[in-house]
Amino acid sequence: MPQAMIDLPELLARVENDRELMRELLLIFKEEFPQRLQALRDGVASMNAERVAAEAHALKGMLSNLAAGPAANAAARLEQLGRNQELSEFQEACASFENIGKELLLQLDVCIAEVCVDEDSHRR
Amino acid sequence: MRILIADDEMMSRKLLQKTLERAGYEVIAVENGRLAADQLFPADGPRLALLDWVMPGLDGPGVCREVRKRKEQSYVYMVLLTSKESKEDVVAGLESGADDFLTKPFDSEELKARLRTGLRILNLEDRPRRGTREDAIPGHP
Repeated sequence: MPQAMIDLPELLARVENDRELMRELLLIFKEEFPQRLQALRDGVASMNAERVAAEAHALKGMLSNLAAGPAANAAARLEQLGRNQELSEFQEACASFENIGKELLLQLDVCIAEVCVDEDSHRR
Repeated sequence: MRILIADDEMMSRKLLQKTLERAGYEVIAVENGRLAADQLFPADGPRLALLDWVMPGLDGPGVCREVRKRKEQSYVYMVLLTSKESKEDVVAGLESGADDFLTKPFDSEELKARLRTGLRILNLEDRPRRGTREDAIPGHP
């Protein structure tokens, strides 16, 4: 059984049980995540520590709002590496973040589908 | 009560906006510090503001500094939103003119409680001043 990438009870508490808002947040994340990830990759490829720190910071914020703890922690690590200019660690940390991100996106789709079903059943 | 939210991150803005609208606030949401300062400068602008620390261009502390320079306007109660947690960051944030700060990701109950504190302070600020130097408590400037 894969590790849960989103803490659903925590996310529901964050949105005060508003499932419509939860769905909106999940969809915004799904749309914005690939662009942010690409910007992070670009920062790592060019060994631009300032950019890595800035993009990782933005990702950490998005992931924290989503109660996506493991991915937020991986982003926080990248942010710290960027701030400390630890360039030699960038590739490994980014690869690790991307692996977590892939699993997160899979679970995100399941989450979105579940929220849509729940909303439909509430409407009936 | 009107409140300004400034955050460049869309998810955060949406979450803050819904949470505060549900709590009865009239929300104005903007995506950068420059727009936030423009909203807060007019005399009839919002008097409560939640400002993300890190924003492109003018950041949260920068907005606080600009607003505090304008002494002629009514007091604006400003809360910085930050994932920065070190003591140095907190000191720098408060010294920029912020009244309070809140760590992200925020807890909705804590957010609302802190804003109620802000409202109490604004209410006190708006009360006619009754005390004078003559009736000040001795030993207290």
